[in-house]
Amino acid sequence: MPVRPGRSARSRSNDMSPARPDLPPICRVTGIFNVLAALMTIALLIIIAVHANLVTETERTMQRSSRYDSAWVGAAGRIEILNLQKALAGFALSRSEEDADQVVLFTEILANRFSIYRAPGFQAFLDAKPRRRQLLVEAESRFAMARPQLAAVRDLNAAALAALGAELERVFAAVDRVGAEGQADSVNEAAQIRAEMRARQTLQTWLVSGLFGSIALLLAMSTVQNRFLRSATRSAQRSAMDFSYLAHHDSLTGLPNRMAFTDAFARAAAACSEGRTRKIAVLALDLDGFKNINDRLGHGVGDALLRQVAERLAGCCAAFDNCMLTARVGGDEFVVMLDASDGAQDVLAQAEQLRAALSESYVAAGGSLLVGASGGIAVSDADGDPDALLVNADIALAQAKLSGKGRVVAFDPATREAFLRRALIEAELGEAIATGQIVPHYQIKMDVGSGRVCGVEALARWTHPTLGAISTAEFTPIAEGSGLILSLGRSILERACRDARSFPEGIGVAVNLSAIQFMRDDVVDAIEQVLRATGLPAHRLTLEVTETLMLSESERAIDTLTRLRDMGVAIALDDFGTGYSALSYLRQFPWDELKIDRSFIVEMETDARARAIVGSITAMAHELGIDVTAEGVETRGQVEALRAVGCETLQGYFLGRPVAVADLPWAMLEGVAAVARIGSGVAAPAQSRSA
Amino acid sequence: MFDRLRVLVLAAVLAVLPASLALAGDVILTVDGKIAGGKPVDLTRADLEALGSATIVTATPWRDKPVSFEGVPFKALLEKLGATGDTLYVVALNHYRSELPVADIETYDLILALKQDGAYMPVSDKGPLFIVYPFDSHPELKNEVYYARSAWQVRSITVE
Repeated sequence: MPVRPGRSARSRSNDMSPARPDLPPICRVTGIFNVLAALMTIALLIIIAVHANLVTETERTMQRSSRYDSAWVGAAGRIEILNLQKALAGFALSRSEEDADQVVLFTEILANRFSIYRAPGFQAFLDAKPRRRQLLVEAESRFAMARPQLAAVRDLNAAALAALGAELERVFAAVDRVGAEGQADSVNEAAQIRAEMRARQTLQTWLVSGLFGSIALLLAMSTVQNRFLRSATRSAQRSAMDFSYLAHHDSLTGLPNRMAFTDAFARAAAACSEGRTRKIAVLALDLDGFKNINDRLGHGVGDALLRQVAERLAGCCAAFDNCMLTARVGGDEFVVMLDASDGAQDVLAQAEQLRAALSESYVAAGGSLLVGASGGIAVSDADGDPDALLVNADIALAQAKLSGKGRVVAFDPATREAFLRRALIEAELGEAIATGQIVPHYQIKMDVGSGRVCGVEALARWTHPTLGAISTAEFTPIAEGSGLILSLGRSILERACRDARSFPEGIGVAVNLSAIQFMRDDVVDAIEQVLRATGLPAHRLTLEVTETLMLSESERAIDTLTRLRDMGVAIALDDFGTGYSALSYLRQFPWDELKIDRSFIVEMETDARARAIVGSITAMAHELGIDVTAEGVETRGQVEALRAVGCETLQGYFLGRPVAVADLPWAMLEGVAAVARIGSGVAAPAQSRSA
Repeated sequence: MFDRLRVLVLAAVLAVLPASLALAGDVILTVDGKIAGGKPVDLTRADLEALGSATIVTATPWRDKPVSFEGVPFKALLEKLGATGDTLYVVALNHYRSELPVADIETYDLILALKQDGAYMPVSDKGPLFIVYPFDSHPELKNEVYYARSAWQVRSITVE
């Protein structure tokens, strides 16, 4: 159970949590790239669609351009009829067999041409203009009429030949015209095809440009993306390293933090228990009153101070050969792990050296600052549990604090239980006050002269569920240390005043008022409020205070005491005789009662000087009109000694132990009986009915 | 009038017949250039038919229906003549001139058609010889390049 004393309130500024980094730019860039990629996909789909359509169109155009060539068919017809005309003209002149054969041959060839004109490939051309077909049909029928004559050209006379020539001339006009038009159409169509192809080529060029552009953009994107990815990877690695560093280091001082210490300690402890390494020592160090500095001078100064502390520690430890780790484990608590193989004495000396280094003055808030430091050190032993080392060091540190600070205390196993008990008490005190586990018990005060009970003192008593009865002496300092003394005092005061109402007339109640309660501005109002609430008359309440409240601001203290006394409340000075016990206190304020500290009473039977002091105090007090009560009376001899010096108001176990309110009547009876026995010469100490 | 016309028609038919339909003994093809012997060879229809026969049934741009062409395997003709060139220069009766790569003959098994749908072709219908490509079985042939090589009324061939 790691108990860390005084670490509950961690200041905001000295905290050690790492900062959270921003989102990397890769996320934003990826978003843009996703949009670009989507747009590009759409663009590519469009390009593919347009291109497919283009290919189909081009294919169609290609087919058109590969079509049967009407220009040639027409042109060939023109040559053939010219050849026929030439042959006929030649025959008309020569009348030779050869020329006749030529006429016959070209007649057949022209006949062939007319049949070609009927070829399917030529029909589209003929249909383009109605006049063409008409011309050609007329020409063909003329030729058909002329054909028998041409075949029998040898038998024709000159006139018939001339007529035939004229007829052929007409056929020629038609064939020539159709042929020329075929050529013109062909040229036009070729031009049209070229224009279409050129347009498509332009479009194709754009598509290709788009394609290359897209590819270029993709490459650029992937380059940029790659660069971002690389930088993201780098920054991820960096932040992983940073995070690991931050997780294991304190951001304020740069020292390893508690996590790092725990890891390192676990490794060292494991090595220890396996017997691989030697002993280790854990030194816990903290500044005395750091919280005060933080609160009064501000966190800035506190932070600066902690950084200097860390630097000094790191600097000193670097000079040690056996330093294993220096870490900041909390607000102002630092831990140094040392190899203690060479002996505990060396380690203790080193610890003291470190403490002394931390106690030297610091530069802070524009001046120098002196802060003490305390340390606790625990060394592992062969059979001890290494895991307990840090707890033990903390216990030793707490002991160093309790025993006056500014020192290093080595852990003593005997104090462990006491410390843990104290820690438990501290942890549960608040709850105990709130739930009424702590109630006043009452101890009677007897006037041995008259044999009567003259009052009771309320003493807080805690009955703990597991620890049993815990005395006020044990938990009051703890309550004072944690500030719970205010609620504790208030609770006890209220209970005591309420209980006192049922006490026999003439018996008042005395309640201790701690200096901390007393320092509160509203103490007078608070007490008045309690009296009003409980209905106890003021004169039945005595407030017991100690001289500590006279040590500082004594004027204010006297003013407060006077106001309380004016209310009717009696004021007793407790524990008189210890501390300074300056006589001036007795002059400054009209006390109602002095309570002589038990340390004098214990000595009275054996020490004449103690008897003399008690006698003098009593005489002086009575001279000043102040009642005197002797505390801690435990034996009949003490009673007699006190009576001998004139002190007759007594309190202590001899007369009665503190008891619960329900047992108080019995305690009173027994107290009276005890005094009566002294008077009648029967010596028997009173026994309390219960603790 | 009627009789005169009839006589005229009859005369015309008689006159046309010998001119349009070459007889088997007439020379219809002359081949020269790089051939065995180096001298021009004249071939009659009988000579050609002696070289074997092949048929291509195909549509052409000049007819609306497929036609069965029958004739000499062009390859057989070149082998017979010992032709060694790679280009044939073809001249037709109508003075049409075209070039025919020998490779086409190898690739497409061209024929030098004599008959069309079983009948000898007259000059008035692409006769007497017509270079025929198998257009239907090779669609890549359906363009003006091959249409131009597909010469009709073939009269002479020069091998180069």
